[in-house]
Amino acid sequence: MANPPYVELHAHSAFSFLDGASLPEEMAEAAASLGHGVMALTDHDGLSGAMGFAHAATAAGVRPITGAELTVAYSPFSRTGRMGDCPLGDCPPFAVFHITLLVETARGYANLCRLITIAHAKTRSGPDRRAIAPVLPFEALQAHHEGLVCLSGCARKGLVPALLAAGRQAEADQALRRLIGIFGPGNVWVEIQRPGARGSKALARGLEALANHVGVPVVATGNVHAHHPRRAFLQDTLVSVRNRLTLDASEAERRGNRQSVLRAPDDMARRLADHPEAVRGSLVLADRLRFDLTRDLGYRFPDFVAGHPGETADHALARDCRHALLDRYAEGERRHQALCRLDEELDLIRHHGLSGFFLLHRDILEIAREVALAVRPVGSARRALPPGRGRGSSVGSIVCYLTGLSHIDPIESGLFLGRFLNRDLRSVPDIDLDFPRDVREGLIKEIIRRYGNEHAALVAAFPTFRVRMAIRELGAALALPAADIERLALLSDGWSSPEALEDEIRRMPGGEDRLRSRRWRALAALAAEAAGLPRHLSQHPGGMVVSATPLVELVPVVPAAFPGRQICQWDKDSCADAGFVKIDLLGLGMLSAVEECLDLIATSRGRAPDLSRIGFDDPAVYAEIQNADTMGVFQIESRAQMQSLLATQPENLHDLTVQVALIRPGPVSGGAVHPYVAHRRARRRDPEFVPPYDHPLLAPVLEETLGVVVFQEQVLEVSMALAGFTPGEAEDLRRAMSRKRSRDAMLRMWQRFRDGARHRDVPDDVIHTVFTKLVGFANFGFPKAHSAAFAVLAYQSAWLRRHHPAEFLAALINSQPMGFYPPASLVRDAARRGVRTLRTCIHVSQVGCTVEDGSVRLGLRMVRHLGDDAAHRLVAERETMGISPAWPIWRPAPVCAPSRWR
Amino acid sequence: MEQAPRAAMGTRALRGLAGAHPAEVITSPDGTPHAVLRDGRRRLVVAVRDTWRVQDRWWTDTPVDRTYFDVVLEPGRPVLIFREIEGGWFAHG
Repeated sequence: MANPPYVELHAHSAFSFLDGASLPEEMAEAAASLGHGVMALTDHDGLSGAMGFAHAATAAGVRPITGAELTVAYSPFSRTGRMGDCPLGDCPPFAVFHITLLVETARGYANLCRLITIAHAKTRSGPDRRAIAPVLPFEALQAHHEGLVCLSGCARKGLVPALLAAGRQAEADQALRRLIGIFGPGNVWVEIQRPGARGSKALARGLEALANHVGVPVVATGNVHAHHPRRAFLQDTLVSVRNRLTLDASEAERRGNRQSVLRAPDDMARRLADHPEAVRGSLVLADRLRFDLTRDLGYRFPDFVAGHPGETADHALARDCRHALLDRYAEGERRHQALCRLDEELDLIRHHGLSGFFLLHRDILEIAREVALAVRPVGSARRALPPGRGRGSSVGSIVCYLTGLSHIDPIESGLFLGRFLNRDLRSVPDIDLDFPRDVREGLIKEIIRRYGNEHAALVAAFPTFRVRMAIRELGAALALPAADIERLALLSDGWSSPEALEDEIRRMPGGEDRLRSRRWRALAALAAEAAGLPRHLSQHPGGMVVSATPLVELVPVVPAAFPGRQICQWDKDSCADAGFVKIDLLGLGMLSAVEECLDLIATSRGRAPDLSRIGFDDPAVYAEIQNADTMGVFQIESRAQMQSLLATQPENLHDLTVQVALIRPGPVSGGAVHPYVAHRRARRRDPEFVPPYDHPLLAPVLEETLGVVVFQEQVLEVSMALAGFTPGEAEDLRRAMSRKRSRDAMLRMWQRFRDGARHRDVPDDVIHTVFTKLVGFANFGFPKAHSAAFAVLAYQSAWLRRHHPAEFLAALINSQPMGFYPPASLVRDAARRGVRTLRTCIHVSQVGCTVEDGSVRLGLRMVRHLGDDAAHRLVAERETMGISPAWPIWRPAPVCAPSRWR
Repeated sequence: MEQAPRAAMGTRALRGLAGAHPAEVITSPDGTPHAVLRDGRRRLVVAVRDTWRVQDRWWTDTPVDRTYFDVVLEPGRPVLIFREIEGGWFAHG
């Protein structure tokens, strides 16, 4: 189609939470197949879907426009002051309306981010920090209008349309003129929509007349809420869920029909044939809006140089690394190797302009050290420990090793740089830092404080409609009996198709009858449609973004439920697309447990072992691992792991590294587990055994894992070896697999993969087999370096469990919740291994578990319903008052009522 | 804070078929009503004042999918008629 006659400039994705019913990616692909050449996404008060939409649209051949529909508090009556004859109910001093803002320039984008940030600023200001709806004071537009085009908003709640529909001609006229006063003539357009509701045609005629009267152009928009008519049913239901009403009771809130869906440009032009000026207007306006979020964000890596003014980041990093290197490697062959590796890495880092990024991470580790000193008691064995450790692919980097980001020597461990840094790196490398929980809490706050509210925020995560939530919320909207819904919710696990849910319903008592009712059938269909849609904005477990330019001009930032924290509106994928420096601060329960264990050992034995010197070759530890005697050990304690340990019989750290990565969703669904176990057996019987490869080209990359794909980077290496992908292309493949529902992107990757492999004379059936395995593996595996870091922690926990079983048990219980097993199972397992557990005692128990002559004394915290607070107060009281045998009887305990009962 | 005014929709006619009775309507080729038979007489539609679509109650055993026409019949009598998606015309009043 040469010139589509219409451009859609007003559309909501599911990131208009509980309103839009389609993913941005679905919107983009539907737009392409319907023949759109340009399209805008305008979610309510947010840009969470904007980056995903921009990339998906660009990939599908649709030019994306960025925008948002903002909720503004506007006072239509302040000028006239005639509060007496207000038509809008109880004469509010101001009311809430919508306006649509579209980005024209980079300045406009920055302004839109600021406006959305302001709109959300007070959403957590109540005493309980419960989220309230965002709203922008109308006056705030004045300072941040530049580069934005303002549309009058949707037919129902748009500023001008709503006033006009309420019969307030004069106020609508005035509102329109006030918008022109702010945005300037030519930057305000009146939206003409056709929602197919009663009175909407007259409203459109009235709006066009008003626009002509004031001298403002008109633009047709679709106010799209779904990419396909099928989703309109879900849209109805989401509106009910949002309003906490049933479908039956929410007629007034719902749209009333299924007309607000994405349509072909021709179709829209035909439906709005009585407003040809507005239809033409969509083309004229779209042509002006040339800001491209995939290209024009204007983000630069921060050039953080701490303490050396005038020095470039490149210099500072190189100097620090060289200095550390001479310290850590004695003169000789290893130092030479290390120097070569360092030069290679520094060269790549300079090439990508990433020096500031590494310095930033070093700074953060520095802050972590300070936080750790503050939260760890003086004299504790933990004070000497590093406050965190790196994992992920960063562990393969010598720069990370030298700057303290990782504790694994990549030269000694033979770790590859591979995915972490390469010539055609498309996105910033990931550095994950694991911290004990207490350090992490303080660190997040401190980073936001140190870099400032405008420069640092947590990365967002978007919980999707999971099975149970979908059943409960959609079931309630459908007014199905609460008890039945609850039963179904508890039954259901792990299905995703409507047929599967129908089967579950059929299995309920009277299931067949239920399935004859439309409501029950609707539940199955709606739950399947809702699967994968974002439900609300939440915070990523530990990702943070820090920016030298104000972050609030790159992405809107909103307050978090947790005091002192704030979240940017993008998830990790969007942050990666933006090229943001993302820092992962993960809280790891086992790190806390190991630290606590060292403290307990120091208390009971006088000094704690130095874990960095224990070596990784204790036969007694491996004997237990090979016996699957691993309950409580990091990463290798699940039933699946235990079963596999019996077969694979790990003998060293490398085996553990594979083991940790093997029992993961990726290798499991990529069909890697059984072949690996079989090949490993064969190799043990015959050290000369050569595992079969799908193709000889794969031998070099799959040799260390006996012919199967176990590690994340092997997906990349396989695509490079078999299909001749460049590292950048391989990275594209990984990303295509990580994006949900992006069929088209996968199809394109498959074609490139097939063509590349055919070019190397690989037979078609082999290409197919290998690609299927890669897709099965998808994105659900560990990088090797990440596994290596986890393997170290697995070994250390196994070592502590073997040599200090009582302290280890106490530490595990104190670090709950963590791991796979409840405390009772851990206690039973320890008893089997000769560790006695003593009951809680009001006279001697501390708050948490302690070690008493080689036995574990349970802490007061373990007493059901007592709670932490009460346990702390009991111990404090006992310490000040002294111990008396009669104490608990004659003296009222300083506890009001068990905290759970309150 | 008050919600935005929402008078734009008017009330939605969703009260089932109560108050509506089958009507005979002659349509133009584009599907819009051309004339309505009333009291055995054929009355031309002189104006369509508004049309809208109601799609609702799809989760019940009585789903609704109708196109409404607010028309004026000669010689100037307003009538509200609708066409069911399943077929058949009805008139209010």
